[in-house]
Amino acid sequence: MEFNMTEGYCTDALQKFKLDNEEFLKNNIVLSFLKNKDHEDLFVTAICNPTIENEKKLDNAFRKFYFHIRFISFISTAIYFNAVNFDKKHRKIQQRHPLTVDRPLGNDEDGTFKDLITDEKAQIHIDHIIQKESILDYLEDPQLCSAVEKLTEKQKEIINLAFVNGLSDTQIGKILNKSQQSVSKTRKKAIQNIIQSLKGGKNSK
Amino acid sequence: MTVFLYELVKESQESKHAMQSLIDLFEPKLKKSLSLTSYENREDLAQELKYTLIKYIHGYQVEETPGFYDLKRKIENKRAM
Repeated sequence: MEFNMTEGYCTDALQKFKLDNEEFLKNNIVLSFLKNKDHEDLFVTAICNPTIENEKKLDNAFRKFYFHIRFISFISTAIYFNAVNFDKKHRKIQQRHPLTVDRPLGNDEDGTFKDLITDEKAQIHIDHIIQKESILDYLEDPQLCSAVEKLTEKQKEIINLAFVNGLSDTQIGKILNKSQQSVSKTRKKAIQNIIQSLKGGKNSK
Repeated sequence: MTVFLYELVKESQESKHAMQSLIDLFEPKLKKSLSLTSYENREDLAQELKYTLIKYIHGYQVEETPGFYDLKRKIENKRAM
C-alpha cells in the first residue's frame, strides 16, 4: 500500500506503522477503506499526529464504513434465509394439510379432485363439438368437398347422419320425422348428385 | 452513502419515518427474494420479510461495530495466538 507522503517528516512513522501492522493493512476491509482519498488523509493524519482527536476521527470514519458493509451483508443474508424458511414452512403445511380440491385421489396418477370439477356455465361442451361436426370436416379431397357443399341442406343433413353418426335410414327417419323410404331416397339422390358433380368436375378439367 | 446508512439505522431505531426509508432501500433485494416462493404466497412473504427486517433493525447493536483500532487489535491478537 502506497500512501501519499507529502509531509516528509512523517515517512518514518508511516513506514514503521506499515511494518508493525502488515497483516492488518492486508485485510480486505482496511484495503478498501483506505482506497477512499478522504479516508487515506485521515489515516495519514492520525499516524503523523497521533492526537486523541485525530484518532477518534479515523476511528469513527472507519466504523461508519465498516458498519455500512456489515449491515448490508447482514440484512441481505437475513432476507434471503427468511424467504427460504418461509417457503419451506408453507410447503410443509401445504403437504400436510392440502385443500380438499388439491388432495390426490388414490394414486398419484389419478390426479386431484379439482381435475374432475366441471364448469356448468362453460360455453364449450365436448358433446356439442362432436354433434356439430359435419361431414365436411372429414373430407380431405377438395373436389369431393365442393361436391358435398353443392347438396341441398336436407341432403347434407341426411348424409351427415348416415355417414358421420353411422345411423340407419330408419333411425334417421325417426329423428327427422320422415319415413324410411323418403330418407333412403334422399340419401341415394345425394350420392348420385355427388357422383354427378365429381364426374362433371373431371370432365370440365 | 457510507455515512448515510450508519446514521439512518441509528435514527430508525427511534423514528418510524427513517425506518420506512431504510426498508425502501432494501426493497429491490426484498422483491428479488419473493421469487423464492410460489406466486400465491408472495404478498405474505413480503409482509413477513418487512416485519422481520424491522425486528432485526431494532435489535441491531450499531455501536458494536469495531472501529479502526478495534479491528487492528483484533487482528494483532489473532496473530499473537
